[in-house]
Amino acid sequence: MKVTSYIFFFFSFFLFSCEDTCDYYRSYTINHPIYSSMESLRDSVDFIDPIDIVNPGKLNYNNGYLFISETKKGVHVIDNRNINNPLKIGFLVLPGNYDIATKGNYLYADSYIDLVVFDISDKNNIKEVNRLKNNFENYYVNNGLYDLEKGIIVGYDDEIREEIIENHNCNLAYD
Amino acid sequence: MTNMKKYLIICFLIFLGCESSNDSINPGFSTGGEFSSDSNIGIGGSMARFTIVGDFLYTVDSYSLQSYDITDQVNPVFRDKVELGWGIETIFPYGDNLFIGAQNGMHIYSLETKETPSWISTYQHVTSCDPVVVQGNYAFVTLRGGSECQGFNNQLDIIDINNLSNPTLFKTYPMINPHGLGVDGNCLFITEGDYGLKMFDISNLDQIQLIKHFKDLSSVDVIPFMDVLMVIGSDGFHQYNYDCELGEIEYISTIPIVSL
Repeated sequence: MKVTSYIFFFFSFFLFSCEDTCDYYRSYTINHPIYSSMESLRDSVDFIDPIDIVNPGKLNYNNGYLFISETKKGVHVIDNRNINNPLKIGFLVLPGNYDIATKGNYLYADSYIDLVVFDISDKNNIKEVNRLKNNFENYYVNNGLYDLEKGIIVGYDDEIREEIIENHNCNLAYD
Repeated sequence: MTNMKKYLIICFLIFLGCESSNDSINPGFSTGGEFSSDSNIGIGGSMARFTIVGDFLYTVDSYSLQSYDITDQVNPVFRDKVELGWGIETIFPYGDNLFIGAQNGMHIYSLETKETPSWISTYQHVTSCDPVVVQGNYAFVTLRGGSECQGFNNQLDIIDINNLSNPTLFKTYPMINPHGLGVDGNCLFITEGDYGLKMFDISNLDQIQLIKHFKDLSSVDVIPFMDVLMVIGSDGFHQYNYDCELGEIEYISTIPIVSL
């Protein structure tokens, strides 16, 4: 009994020994926004061969054809007249697209701050026919996603920074 | 997996619990809804934020609605902007109204003046993600909790909208992780994210019946149209044939999704 008391007493010195200061590494990520001008984004609209569906967003079905938005990138166009064998026809490159609606021969879609109209009468050759520029600007400005000088934030560069904190008071949970 | 079993058992028990109340209301659904009135207009899923009613395109962002006159389809004309509140997520047209899913409830707007939808009422619920679809005198709203949606509830709320200015909760059914949903006649489809796709018989709203649960099918939104169910999920775009009278559903085809 006496022996175990001594052992506890002895070890208690170790518990006190690191009270004062300690050094540690702290790492954190900084997101640097990547800006792109609306002009270059507007110029990048294209209708290309089918691409893989990776990150689908909204669906719109119109008279045997299906439009599936690829979040932020564009719209997949699918011939679904034979539901046993749906065929990807092509991909409408439309940066910053989230939402779509169709009526007759026209597709309405957002592209960041613009509302864009496409003629879809020829599903193999979908064409931009009109664009209402800046109609969704308020939303992007209010959410800090659009800078009138630098342009639209199209993504982020992650930078991981590490730093050593010296002589830090160990009893504080946060710096 | 055990979690899912637990939920299914709970769902099942709730169905059993309601068995005695057979004197329930016949919803008397009108089939097709707004969509069939103009075959030119494409059908969106329940997560849509763009929708077309007649000659008007409506778009919503997190807090406001814009209306565009598309009588001349190539040249949309901006008409008006309506502030809707906060946490706006989805827009669903039905009859002469717009049903707007928000994180704090469901707003009903009248299209009496098409360029400026006017507020009729709000059905309030706990904060969550919540698309809405409507059929007949009932709105179907799924509430999903979780980090991106806030809140903790995962459920289906059936809301009585007989009186548009006073929507009231008709019944709540527990769900697992509901995302988009679709309704067609006596069929209600609910996507449960990674927990699969569910098909319900809703001929008796007091006691909706789970007909089928595809547990391995990841699903986030659906379009049921003319007995074909189109499903989008994290593993692909899938199609099924369904028959609400017989309560049957069978797989047709898939376009896979490539994960990077």
